[in-house]
Formats: sequence, structure tokens, C-alpha cells
Amino acid sequence: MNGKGSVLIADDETIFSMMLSRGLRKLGFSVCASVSSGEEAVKAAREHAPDCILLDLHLNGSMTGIDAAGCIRGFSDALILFVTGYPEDYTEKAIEGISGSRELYKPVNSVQIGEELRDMLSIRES
Amino acid sequence: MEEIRQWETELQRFFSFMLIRTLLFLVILGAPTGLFSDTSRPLIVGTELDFPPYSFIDDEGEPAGLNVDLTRAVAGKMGIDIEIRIGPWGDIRRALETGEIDAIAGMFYSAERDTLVDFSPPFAEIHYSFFRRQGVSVSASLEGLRGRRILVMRGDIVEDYLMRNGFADELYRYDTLKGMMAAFAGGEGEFAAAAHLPALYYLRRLGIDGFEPESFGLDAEEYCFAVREGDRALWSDFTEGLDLLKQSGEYKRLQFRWLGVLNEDSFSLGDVLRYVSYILVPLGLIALAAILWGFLMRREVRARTAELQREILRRDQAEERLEHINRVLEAVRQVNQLIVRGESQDSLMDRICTVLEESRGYFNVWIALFDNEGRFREIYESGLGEMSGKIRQHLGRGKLPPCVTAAAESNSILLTEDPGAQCPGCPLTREYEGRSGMTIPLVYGGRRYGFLFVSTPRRYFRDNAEQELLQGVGDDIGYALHDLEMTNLLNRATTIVQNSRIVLFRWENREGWPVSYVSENVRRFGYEAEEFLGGKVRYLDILHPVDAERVTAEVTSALASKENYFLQEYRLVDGRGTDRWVEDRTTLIRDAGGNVIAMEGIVFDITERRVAEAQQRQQDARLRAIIESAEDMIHLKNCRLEYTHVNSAFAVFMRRSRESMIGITDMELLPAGEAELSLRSDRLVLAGSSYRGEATLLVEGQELRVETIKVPVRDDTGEIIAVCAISRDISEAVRIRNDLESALEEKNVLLRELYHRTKNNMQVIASMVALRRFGLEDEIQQAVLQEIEGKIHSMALVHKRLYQTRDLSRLDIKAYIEELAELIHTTFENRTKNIRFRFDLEQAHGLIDTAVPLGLVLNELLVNSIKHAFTGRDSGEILISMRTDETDGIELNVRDNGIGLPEGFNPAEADTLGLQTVYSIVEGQLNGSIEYLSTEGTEWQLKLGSVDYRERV
Repeated sequence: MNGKGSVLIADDETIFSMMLSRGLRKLGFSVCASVSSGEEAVKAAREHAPDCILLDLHLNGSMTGIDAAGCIRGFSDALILFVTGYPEDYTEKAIEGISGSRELYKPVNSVQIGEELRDMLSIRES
Repeated sequence: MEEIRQWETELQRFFSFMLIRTLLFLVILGAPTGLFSDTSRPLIVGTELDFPPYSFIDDEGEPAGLNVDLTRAVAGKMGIDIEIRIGPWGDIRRALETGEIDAIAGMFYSAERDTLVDFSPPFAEIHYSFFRRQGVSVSASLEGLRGRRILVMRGDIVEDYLMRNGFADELYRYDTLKGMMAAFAGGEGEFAAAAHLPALYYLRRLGIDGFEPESFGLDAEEYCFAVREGDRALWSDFTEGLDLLKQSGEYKRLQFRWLGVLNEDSFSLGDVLRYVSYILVPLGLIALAAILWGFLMRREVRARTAELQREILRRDQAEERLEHINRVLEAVRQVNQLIVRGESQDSLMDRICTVLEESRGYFNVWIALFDNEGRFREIYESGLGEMSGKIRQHLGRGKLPPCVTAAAESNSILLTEDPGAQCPGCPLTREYEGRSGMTIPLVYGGRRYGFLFVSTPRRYFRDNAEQELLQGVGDDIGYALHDLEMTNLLNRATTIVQNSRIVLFRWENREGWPVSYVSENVRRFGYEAEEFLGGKVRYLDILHPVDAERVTAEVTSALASKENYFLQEYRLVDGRGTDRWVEDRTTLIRDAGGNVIAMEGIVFDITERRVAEAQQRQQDARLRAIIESAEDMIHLKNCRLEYTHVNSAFAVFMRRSRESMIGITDMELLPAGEAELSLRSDRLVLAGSSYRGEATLLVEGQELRVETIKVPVRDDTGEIIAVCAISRDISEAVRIRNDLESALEEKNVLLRELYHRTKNNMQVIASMVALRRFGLEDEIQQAVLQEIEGKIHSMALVHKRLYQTRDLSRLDIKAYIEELAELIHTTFENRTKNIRFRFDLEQAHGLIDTAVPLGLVLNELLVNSIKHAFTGRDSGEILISMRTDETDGIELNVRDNGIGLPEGFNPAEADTLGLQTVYSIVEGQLNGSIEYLSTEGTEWQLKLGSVDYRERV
């Protein structure tokens, strides 16, 4: 159960972010930053160049998760996992427009996310 | 010699009168034919002018001779009034042919002539001779005359004979015997052929000597009375008369008187004999008389034998004819019986045909009947066979055979002796080959009912008796048809009147208007016709007291007016005292002066109609009231889609007066677009459909929503006669509906948001539990928190699924179970690597009230299996299956192939909180049961009854 790579967490729900940070670290991932707005997410992604980014679709600030992902894709090919509680607010098409991304719907626990990230990373490596 | 001188004197006188008589005769013959067509005229018997001693003009200028005396004697015997006419032979012959005279006294018999006239038995036999001059040599045979010039009398039998034998070129013809003999004496010709005695008479009279009679080739000719062919009555008279004369001896006396002397002469030929005659005369006379007597006796026997044979033939013919007439009579008798028996027309006509055919022996008999307009109606027949169809077809096409047309014109029996020759155009003639037809019109009182046709053998064709009988039968059938028609009409008329509701009255315009006629069916009102006619009941008496005054006044006013007709409705009181409404249509009968003398009326019971009308009015009023008081708008349109009825609700809605809408169409009432839509639905309704729809109308600037139902209105026969429309202003309802819809939408949004937030909150709670768990070292404590975290997660999943559903209340249980199992499988990934989950789930939906506790139970059971069932095993399988049934609810089965629960373990009694919770939830909250089965591994069987939770959202 050894996590690989660094993870950037962007979610406006603090408790959920905290739970994920701890949980993913326990699973072996390194969490480089945890932010709550799209702008911060873009900035942190540029700064830390993480392997994976967890993006809530619903974020503080003026950007949505999709917007932030679009910006990040401008400079990074980090794996993006959208995690959202409002699946109906975004079309699947918009998510599909972001290459190298997947999505998971809340409620989720850290094990489910860790599993998904590992799966994504192993696909990339191979 | 004395005798001869006496003859000579007579002859001189004869010639002096002859010219006068000839002229006289010609005058008589030229007289108007009307004289001869008089049926009461005497029988005219002609005889030849110059054929002495048989017929000639005597000294007094009267016809004389054997023929004349014999004719008179026969007439005397038979009691016939006769007139003798004498003339040249040719004229007499023609006169018989044309019917100007009835008989000829003295005509030679020949087979040829017998086809033209009927001969009596001969009354004399006359020898013919060829006279030749002495010295003219001739071989004693007819052939010896070839190339010789022979004088003959025109029309004489000897002329016929010579012509027959090819002497046409040798003959020189003269009109009179006397003329001929004079010419012969004067040197004309070499031979003269003539009757022996008359020729001798003239030769002697003219003092011609030097001739010799020869009789080769010519036999004695039989001299007879002749009547027109077919005139059997007259023929019988002459035959019988002659017979009587022969029997009485008068015939012999007359013969002797006229022929005695000359016959003697025939034996004293030549001048030598004349000189010795003084001696020989007395002796000769005696000898001659004896010879003549013997000759006459032989002749008499021969004649009598011939006569007898003829008599037998005549009797046979008469018998046959009698039998024939008897058969006709029998047929007529049977026909009359049929008529009297009074059968139906069809059966009567059929049987008449059969009877006539069978009893008379006609080839066939048929009757064709025609209607009043002369159109063919029916044919009845006997013996026609296949022909009947052909005749029916022919007549049916309106074509009449010529015999029918002719019989119709003459109105009497028409005889067609040889249809094949007489009716070339008629299609029926082929069937009448060798037969004759009779067409008898069936007429009575000027009405021609049809025709009777019979087909008879030709032999009896000219039988007067049969024709008369058939004419009689035709009259009888005509009468029978008339009678049948009248009976039918009368019966029908009587039946109609008896069963009619219409009672006929005639009132005289006198004090009290007495009834002078009333039809029998006045019984309908409980009275007898006699009661009115006898004055026992007056019409005024049966009027209803309330109406009597009005009726009387109206009649009085009608009588005073110039009107000829009035109609009233009033009540009568019938014989049982019940009121009866009647309609009375009365016509005033006026005399020449215009004064009303009577009233004739038809009075009929309209009580039922009045009652029905009253009921109808009541129903109509009720219906009108219902329609009028309805809040819905109701209107009717006719087939031209013009408004015929509108209720006040509609008028109010349209802001128009009711009257202004009657008679107009939607095109005038509504804006063009709306009118077009309404027209379209109206047409559908007129085609038989019903219609339901909504429309928005702009009334006085306000948009109103109207719902309309249109249905066709049909009459008794099912014909669509109108469109009935019921409309309702649903503007308010639509507004409320719209409000409700937006309220519902709002609720849904709120509810979805609620579920969403609940789920997110649960995610936060689960995250907090997880955070706490991450901080613990103790594995037992970690496990407890993980269990709580898992249960929160399972509840959060329910909410996630709920807000994804359309109705926000019933979620897909199958998908939920699969997702929950997947969550558990992932969460315990370090334990479940070799554990496979299998699903066998039927579709099921459930409310949140079922899904949440079910999720908790399933979570407990699955986690238990994962944690404990496969201890010491490399791999395992967990099968989750679900069956749903509408009545029995959900049956859920969770089975693993693990090690099973410990021996003697009773899960229901177990002290573990998890299982206790499971039992409590299933039995308490889910109204179900749970059973533990230890077959192979562990198996939990849950039965969840239909949970009676009301949908609250």
C-alpha cells in the first residue's frame, strides 16, 4: 500500500480536505498542498508541480474546478481527479474535455481516492 | 214433226226475248252490292242463259228449263225463298265467286272445280260430242283432232278438257252456244265441241244439216248444283232436297218433261230418219222410254251408292265435330266451375290453363295479364314448356305479338290460321309450326285484363262453335279478373278503414249538425255508427264540455266565412267517459249556389300525440333549465355550423346578447385564427368524432383559457344533425395549475438541495470520524470508528441516490446495493483482495424509509462476512441476491461460502450489538423477518414485507 507521488488537494470543505490529507499520507502519498479556491489551486500546481491534483468542482473564488483544471492543463500534465458533491452541475462533456482526468462523487473515503489515484498513476507509468 | 215445230216456235220466241233478258240481267248484276249483302234477301240461284233445255228464257221472258224447275222444286221442298237469276255462263261463274249469287243450278262436276265450289250429287248426266261436218274425215280418236280447228264455248267444261290435253292452239272460243253453233253452221271450224243435247237443239233450230256427232274421248259429265266452297248449309239443302224429289218421283217427272223428247232425237240422226220417223216415232218412243228407264235406274243406283258413301263420311265428320265441341264444352264447364269456386288469381289462372289444355286437347294454353297501364304483369300457362320463359321475356320487354295488338284493336277473338306465314316478325311463330292460334281478349267493363291464347290443330280452325265458346270463356275470365280485383280493392279498402285511426264523418248543415255518414271505426271512440245515424247520439253530445263552446263557435264562424276547410283540435268524451284529444279536418261541401250543405271531415285520435307532446315539452323545459342554469357554456350548432342554441353562461362569457349569436357562425363570432381552429374541430365532430381541447380566447383585451368538449348530436335515425359544445372558462384553473407546478418545482429544488446538503454533511461527519480514526493507535478503537464511518457512508449514499432520482422519493434499490457493496469492498481492500462479490438482483425501488435501514443491515452483514467468514481461507465468495414480488415484498439473501458461524451459535440470542441491531431493524423497522441458515458457510435470508410508508414528498 505504498503511495507514490505528490498530491495537491483543492476543496472548499476543510474537514474533508484534512481527512484526505491525513488519509492519503497514511496510504503513502505525499500531499504537497491543500487549497480551497481555484486560483490557489492553479498557483499551487505551478509552484509544486504535483503528480496528482484532487479538484473539487465547487470551489471558493471565482473559478470552478473545471476552470482551474483548464488553466493547470496550460502548464502541467498532472493527473487530475475531480471529486464533487454536485455531479449534476457539470456536464460530463466538460470533464471529458480535460485530458488525463477522472471523476469521483462524494461521499467517498480516503481509501477510495487513494485506490483511484494509484490506478491512474499505474496506467500512466505503463 | 208437230213436236219439233212446237219447239221451233218456242225458240223463235226465245231469241226475241233473249237480248232484253241479257240486258236486264246485266242491270241486275250491276246493281249496288248493298242489295245483295242484305242477310234477309232470298237465296239467289244462278243458271246459264243459253243451255236449253236445262236453262233458258221462255216465251214469257221468264227463266225456264230443267235447272229452273228443279231449283224451284228443291226450294219448295226445303222451304227456302229463292230467286232465279239467269245470265251468260262466265258472268254466273264470277257472280258465285264474288258472292253475288249463292248457288248455281247446273254446273258440271270436275275435280278441279270441286276445289272451288261444293257440288251436290248430280241431277243429270250430260254427254258431250264433237260435231263434224259430213265429209270431214277423222280417225275415231282424240288424237285425230290435232291440228284441226275446234270451236268451243268459253268456260265450258270441254274447253277445260281440251286444254288439259294440249289443244290450246286448236281452239276457237265463243261466248254463247248459240253463237258458236251459228258460226259452225256458217262454215267456221272443222269441229264443234259442246254438250250433246243443247248443241243438237241449236243445230236443229238453225236448220243445219250435214253434221255428225262423235263422242270419242269425252265421258258423260255429271250435272250438279254448286254452292260456294264451305257453304255446307246450302249444300245440305240442295242435297237433301234432291233426295226428297227423287224419292217422291217428282225428279223423274221433271226430267222426263224436259229431256224426254230431245233424248229421242239423239237416236234419230240424219235426214233419212226424219222421213221414217212417222212410223217409227211411236215405236221408238216406247223403246226409248224403256231404254231410258233402264239407264236411269242404273244411274240412280250408282248415284245412290255415291250418295250413301258421302253420307257416311258426312256422319263421321259430324260425329267427330260433335265430340270436339263436347270437349270444348266440358273445358268451358270446368273453367266456369273454377271461376265460381273463387280462388286466388294466380291459382285460378294456372288452373284455367291446365283445364283448357287437358280437357280440350289444345297444344298449349297461356294467359298473359296486363296492369292498368297496359304493362305486362304475369303469364300463366299450360303446355308451353320452355317457351313460357321466352314469352315472358318478350312480353316483359313491352313487346306484344301482332296477334295481341290486333285482338286488342278488334276486342274480339283473333284467329291466326298459319302463324308461320301470317306473323313473320313474331318470335313465337316457330313453336306454332303446323298449328293455328286463337287470341281471345280478356275484357270486362272496358278494362282489358289480358289475353288468352290457345294453340289448336288446323283441322278445327274454322269451327264457329268453338270460337263462340272460347269468346265466352274469355268473357268469363275477364269478369272473374274484374271480380277478383274488385274484391281485393274492397277488402283492402274495408280493412284500411276498419283499422284506420281516421274516422270519417259527414254532418249535414242543419240544426244540430246531424251525422249523415260515419265510418264503422267510430267504434274507436266507443260508439257505434248506428247511434249517430239513428240520431241517438249527436256529435255535439260527445264534445268535451270545456271545448264544446269553442268548437261550436269555430264551426259557426267557418260556416259564415268563405273558407272551405278548417282544422281544429279538441277533446271528445268516448263511450267509457274518457277524454280523447282529436284532430278534426273538415271540408265544407257547398251546393251550386255556394251555400254550405254539409261538412265532411276526418277526425282522428291524437291523445297519445298530445300526451307525448306534453311530456316532450316538460322534458324540454327541464333540459332547458339544466342547460340554462349550468355554469358551463353550452351551445349547439346546426350542420351549417350556425349557432342555434346558446345558454346564458356562454352569452355572458362572450359579452354578447344571446340573440345576436343565433344564426351566425364562428367566423363572425371569433377572431380568424380561433374561428379556423373551432371550424376544424366542428368538422371532426360532424364526421362523427368527439373532440376535447383547450383554446385561448381574447375577450375584451383579456386572454381567457377555455376548455371545450364537442360531441355530435344525432337524430332517431343516427344521422348527425348538430354539434353540441360544452366549454368552461379554465383561466383561473390554469393559473392555479401553473402556480402549483412552480411550487412543485420549487419543492423539488429545495428537497434536492436538502438531500445534497445532508449527504455533504454526512460526508463531513464521516470525514471527522476518519480524522479521529487516523489519530488512534489502538486497532480495536480504529475498527469501531471505521464501522461508524462505514454506516454514515452508507446513509450518505442513500441521499446521493435520492437527489439523483426524478421524483426525489423512490430510489433504485438494486443500484444502491451494488454501490454499497462496492464501497465496502474498496474500504476493506486489504481483506477483500481474494473475496469476490456476486450479485443476482432483481429490479426494486424503495423509499428512503426502506433504503436507509436496509443499507445499515446490509453493511453489518457484509462487513461481518468479510471480517470473519474467510478466516484461514485464501479466497471466498459472497453472493447477494434479491427477489421482488408485488405482494410479498422483497426477499434478500446474503450468502458466503466461508467457514460459517460457530457450532451452537444462535445469532438471534447473540450478545453482539451488530447482530442485535440487524434483528431489531429487520423485525421492527422493516416489518420483516431474518433467518440464519448454516448450509455451507453463512446464509442470511431476509424477508421484507411491503412497508406501508406513505410517500411524504
